[in-house]
Amino acid sequence: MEMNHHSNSIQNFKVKSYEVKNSRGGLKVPVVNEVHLHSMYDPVKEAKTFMSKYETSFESKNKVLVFGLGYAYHIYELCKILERNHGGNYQVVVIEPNEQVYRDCIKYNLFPNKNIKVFSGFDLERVYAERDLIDFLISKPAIISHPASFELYRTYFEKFMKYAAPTGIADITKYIESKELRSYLYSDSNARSIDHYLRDNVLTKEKLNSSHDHLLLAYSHLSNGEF
Amino acid sequence: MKTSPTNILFINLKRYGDIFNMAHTIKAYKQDNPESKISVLVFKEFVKAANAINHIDEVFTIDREQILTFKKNQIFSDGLALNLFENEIHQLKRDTHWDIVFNYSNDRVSTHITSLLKEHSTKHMGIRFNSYCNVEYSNEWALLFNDVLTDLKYSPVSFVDTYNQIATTELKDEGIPLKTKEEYNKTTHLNFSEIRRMEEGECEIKIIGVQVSASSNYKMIPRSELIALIDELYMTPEYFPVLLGAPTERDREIINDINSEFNNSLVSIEADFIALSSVLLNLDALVTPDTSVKHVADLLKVPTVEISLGESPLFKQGTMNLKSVIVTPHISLRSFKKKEVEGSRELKDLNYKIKYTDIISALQYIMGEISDFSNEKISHDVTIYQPHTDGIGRYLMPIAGDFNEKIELERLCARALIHYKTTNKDDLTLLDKISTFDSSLLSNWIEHQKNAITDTSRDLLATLRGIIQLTNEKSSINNFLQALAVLFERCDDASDFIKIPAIRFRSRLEALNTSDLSASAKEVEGLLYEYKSDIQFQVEVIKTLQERMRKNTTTRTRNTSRPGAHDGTIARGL
Repeated sequence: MEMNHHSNSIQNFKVKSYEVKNSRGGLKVPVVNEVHLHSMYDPVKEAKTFMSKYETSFESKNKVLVFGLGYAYHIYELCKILERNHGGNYQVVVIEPNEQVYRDCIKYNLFPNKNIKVFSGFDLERVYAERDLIDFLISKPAIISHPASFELYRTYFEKFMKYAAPTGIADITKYIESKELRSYLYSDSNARSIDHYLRDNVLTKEKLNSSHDHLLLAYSHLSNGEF
Repeated sequence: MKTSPTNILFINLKRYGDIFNMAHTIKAYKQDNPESKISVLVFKEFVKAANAINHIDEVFTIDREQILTFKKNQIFSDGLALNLFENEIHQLKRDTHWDIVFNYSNDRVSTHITSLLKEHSTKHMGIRFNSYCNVEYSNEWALLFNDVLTDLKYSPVSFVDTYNQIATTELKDEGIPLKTKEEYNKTTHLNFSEIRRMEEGECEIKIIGVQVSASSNYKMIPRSELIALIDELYMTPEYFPVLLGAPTERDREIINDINSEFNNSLVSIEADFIALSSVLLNLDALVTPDTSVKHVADLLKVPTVEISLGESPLFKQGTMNLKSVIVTPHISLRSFKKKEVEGSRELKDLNYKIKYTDIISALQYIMGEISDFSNEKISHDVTIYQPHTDGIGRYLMPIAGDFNEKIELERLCARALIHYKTTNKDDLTLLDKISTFDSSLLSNWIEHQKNAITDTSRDLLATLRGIIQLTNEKSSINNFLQALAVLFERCDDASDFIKIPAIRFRSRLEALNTSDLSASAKEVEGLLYEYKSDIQFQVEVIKTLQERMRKNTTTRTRNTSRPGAHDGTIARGL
C-alpha cells in the first residue's frame, strides 16, 4: 500500500489524506479523505455496470464531459462504448480537481487512450481559461458524473457548473487577440463590463473617432439582439 | 468613361429570404459592372443561401450563434464573444480596400460595420454613421429606404427596386442568378419528363409545385384548403401536383400527413436550396406561402401564386415576376408587424380567408387559361395582385377580388410622387391607371390633397420666415421652433402622399451635424427650400392626374361600351 499525505488546502476543498489501495483483484484504488473512489472488490465490474446504463445514450453523441477521473476505470468502459458507436471519432473530456490523482492514474498506466483530455486543478478560473475546454463545452457534450468523485468534490463540481466568468474589462482583455483592440479597452481597464465601458467611454463621446467605437457598438447591438 | 468599381462588399445580416432577394441586385450590378469582384457578409447560419447565389466571389461570415452562446452563457467570458466578432470583422479589413461597401440589410449592426469600414473603403451605399453618429445617406433612395418606407404601412415601392436604385442599377430580367447542380437538373428533368409521359392523355400535362409549409403555422395554407387544393389539381386532367418541402422533420410530417389523405399516391420532393432551384426550373407553376421559396422562384422566373399571409410585407417584398400573382387577405385587415400578428388570434386566422378556389383561379390566370377573373368568384375579403412595370421598377396592382380603392389610390399616388421626385418626370402609365379609379373618390382625394398642400405651404412659409428672422433672442428661437413643430405634424398625416416630403425633411434635418439650429440656419433654410420643391412635385402629380382623368372621361364619353366606375370589387384587369 502506498500512502501520500497532503495537508495543503486548495480553494474550499481540503485534501486531508490521500492513499492508494489495492482491490481484491490487485487493481489500484485511490482513497481521498477516506473515500474510496472505486470498488475495493472489483473496480472494473463496477465501472462496466455504471456505464452500461449509458450504452444507448451515446449512439448519437460522440462528445462526453465526465466529472471525476479517479483511476479511470469508468473512462475505459466509456471509451469502449464510444468506439463501438463512432469508431475513433469521439472525444472525452474529464474534469478532475485533484491533480495528484490524475498524475497517479498516468503513473500506474491506467489512463486509457488518446481521445481523452483531462483538465485538472482546484482553481476554476484556471480551468476555464483553457481554450480547448471552452471549444469542447461549446459543442454541447453529454455530461456524466462519476458518483464517488462527484460526492467527494460536490462543491467543486457544483461551482464548475454554476461558474460565472468575470465580466470586468481587465479579465475580458485576456481573451482579445488584437493588440489594437486590447489597447483601446485598456483605456478604461477598471470598467465592470463591456456595457459599462460603452456607457462611460463611447456613448458619452461627442465624436466617434475610433473604428473600435463602431466595432463595440456593432458587437453590443448584435449580442443584445438589437437590430 | 465610367470606371467600374472592382471590389464591392454587400453586408446582409438578414435571413434566407432576404439573402436570396439580394441576388436580384447582385445580378444587375454584375451585368452593369462585369469586372467587379463581389463579396458578401452574412450570418454563418444562413451561408447556404449566399453560397447558392451566382456572381459572388467571396463569402464572409459572422458566427452569430457562437457569439450569442458565449454571451448568454455565464460560464464563458464576454471576451470570447468580442474576440470572435473582432476576428471576423478583421477579415474584412485585412489586405482589402473596398471600392464600395453596400449596407444592404440596413440594421444597426450592419450600419456600424459599414461605418467602421470607412477607412477601408472609397464609398458606401445605403446608410452609415458619421463621426457624430448621424446618418449619412448615399443617395435619395437610401433616405427613402431608411426613413420613409419604415413609416408607411403600404409601401409604394418594393425593396428590390429600392436596393437597385441605391446601387444605381435596375432590375434585369435576363440571366439566372442562382447556382444549380447539373446532376440535380438532369435528374429532375428526367423524373419530370417521366411524369409528363405517364400522365399525358389528350392534353399537355402541367406540373404544379405546391409548397406545403411556411416559417409559421399562421402563414400556411390551412390543412383543409391545402387538401382541397391538391385534390382539385389531382382531379384536373391537365394538372399534376407535386408536394414540395424542405428536408426537415416538420415538412416531412406535413407531407406524409397530406399524402395519407391521397393513399400515399402523391409525388413529393424534399429539396435543399441548391436542389430546389433544379426542381423549380422544371415546374410549370408554383403555389407557395413560403417567402424564401417565393424569392427563389422569383429569381428563376417561375410563374408563381404567392400566398401572402402573416406579417409578410407584400408591397415591400412581394413577387417581382410579371408572370406571377399574389393572393392575400384584404390588406386593410392585415398587419405587417410580426409582434402584432403573433399577439392576435384574429390576424393569425386571416389564412382561413383564402379558399382553394381562389388559388385555383389565380393559377389558371398565370397559366393563361383565363385572361381575366370576370367569371371567377373570388372569396370575400381576398385580393389578387399582379406586378406591373414603370420607370422606377415594379409595383402591384389589384386585378381581382375585394380591394379598398382609397388605400390603393394613396399607395399608387405616393409612388407617382416618388417617381416624380427621383426622375423629375411623371409616370403617365401609372397615372393613367390611377385615373380609372372611381371618379368621385378621385375628386374628393384630390380636393383633400390640395387643401393639405395649401396648409403645408402656409406652415412651411411660416417656418421659413422663422429661420430668416432667427436671432439669438429667446422669443425668436421659440417662434421658429413652434413653426417647425407645426410642420413636423405633417409626418403623422393620414395621407402617405402628404407624409412623404414631411418625413424626408425631418430626416434630413435630424442628419445635420449640429445640435444648434441657429448656428446651422443656412442649412436648415436650404432643407426648407427642398421641402418646398417636394410640395411642387406634389402639385405636379395632382395636376397630371387631373389631366389624365379629363382625358379618361373624354375617352369614356366617346366609347360608351367601356365599363363604368369601380365599386371596390373587380373581376377584370385594370
